[in-house]
Amino acid sequence: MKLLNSIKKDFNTVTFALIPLAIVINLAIGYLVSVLALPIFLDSIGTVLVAVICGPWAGLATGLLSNAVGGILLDPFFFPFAPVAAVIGFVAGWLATAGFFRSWWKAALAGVIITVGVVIVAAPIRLIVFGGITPNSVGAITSLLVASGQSLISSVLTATTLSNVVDKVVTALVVFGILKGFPRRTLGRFPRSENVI
Amino acid sequence: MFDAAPGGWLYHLNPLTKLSVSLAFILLAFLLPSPLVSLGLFCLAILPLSLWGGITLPMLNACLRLVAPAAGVLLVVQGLFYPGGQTAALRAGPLVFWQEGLAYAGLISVRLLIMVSAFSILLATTPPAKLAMALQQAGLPATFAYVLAAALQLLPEARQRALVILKAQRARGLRVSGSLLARARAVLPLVVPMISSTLVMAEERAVALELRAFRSGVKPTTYYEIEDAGVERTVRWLCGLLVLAAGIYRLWL
Repeated sequence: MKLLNSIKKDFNTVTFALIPLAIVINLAIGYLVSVLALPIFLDSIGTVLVAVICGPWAGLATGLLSNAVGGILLDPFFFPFAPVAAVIGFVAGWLATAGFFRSWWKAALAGVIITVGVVIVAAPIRLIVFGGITPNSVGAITSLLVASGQSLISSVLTATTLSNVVDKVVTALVVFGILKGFPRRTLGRFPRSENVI
Repeated sequence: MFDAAPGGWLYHLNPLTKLSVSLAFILLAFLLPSPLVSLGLFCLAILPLSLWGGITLPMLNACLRLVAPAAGVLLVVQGLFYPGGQTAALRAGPLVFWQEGLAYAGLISVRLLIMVSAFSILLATTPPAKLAMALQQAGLPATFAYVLAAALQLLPEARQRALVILKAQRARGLRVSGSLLARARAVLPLVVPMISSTLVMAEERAVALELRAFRSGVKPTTYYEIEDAGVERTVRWLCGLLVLAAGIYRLWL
């Protein structure tokens, strides 16, 4: 009951207003970064943002719905990775509650911990749905590792870790930096603003 | 990716029916062990359905763009490096393509083909807003239906705006091409304005939502009622039963 009440408190009207905008941020920035041909994704900034100022369950919902929207509008390969996006949001929210978004080095550490969650959930999905080789940069790294003689499973784990750790640390730092510079009056409207103030 | 123009009988179906059929195809492809059975599913069910609905061209286009590159890489990597490779299928100089690896790559590729083509049937005939509305009528809470509908509506515009920001910053001298470092430096000036404006927008939208009794708990009525014929309900039940049967077959037989 206590959990249910705290979830209810997290999902206030500002949270519901923020989530669609965060989804759009995820997908629009992910698109921008792909236009710039950078080796990272930056497609979960919105999810982490919601997770930090609205709690882990709101982060989870943002991740899930981001991939649903991406799957509907952009390409269907977003759907199988929805659990990964959900884990990013949940772990980020949980870390924020534990005070990880109060200083920059803790935020960087939060990025590393989020990566661990990503690897645990993403590797089985890559293996089962895509046979280990996804049609993107992670798949290219995996192929390279497999070609160098590593087993498929360890290649997938290594490639997922490598491609995510920089991405998630940068994501966490960007979110930390932006919230740091934001006026308290605006932040105070969000249910978990105490995570960053 | 798709532009669901009105027309064709698939367009007028309840989106939930199309969603159930698509999901059933995909789950069947993952539950049935043989790539040939899955390929049969594509040729004898998905392809005729798309022909009947007049969406074969956009569907095949999506498959070509998404599945073909993945299948190509899979065939090469799994063909060459499959760990249980016993029988050589093809020798090209020092390279040996193993039959077992090619078969595995084939299985995964067919599954991907079914995934993309089955979703195409739903997405190429359903405007996103209609899908969100159908989910709401089926019992998705109005709050989450709003989240889905708002995101679906805002995204195309936001992607355009992202490109406009990119062009504007370039016009001011921001370098967005060149070395990796140069491109990485371009990220923050592009990303930060987008995110900070969002936080302010969220506050404004929350006020607008509250003024319209967003969380009053009263079930909102809709302007359009999405039709749900009895036949469609039967089709959805059949899809569920079919997947259940395949699951039982996979687990116990």
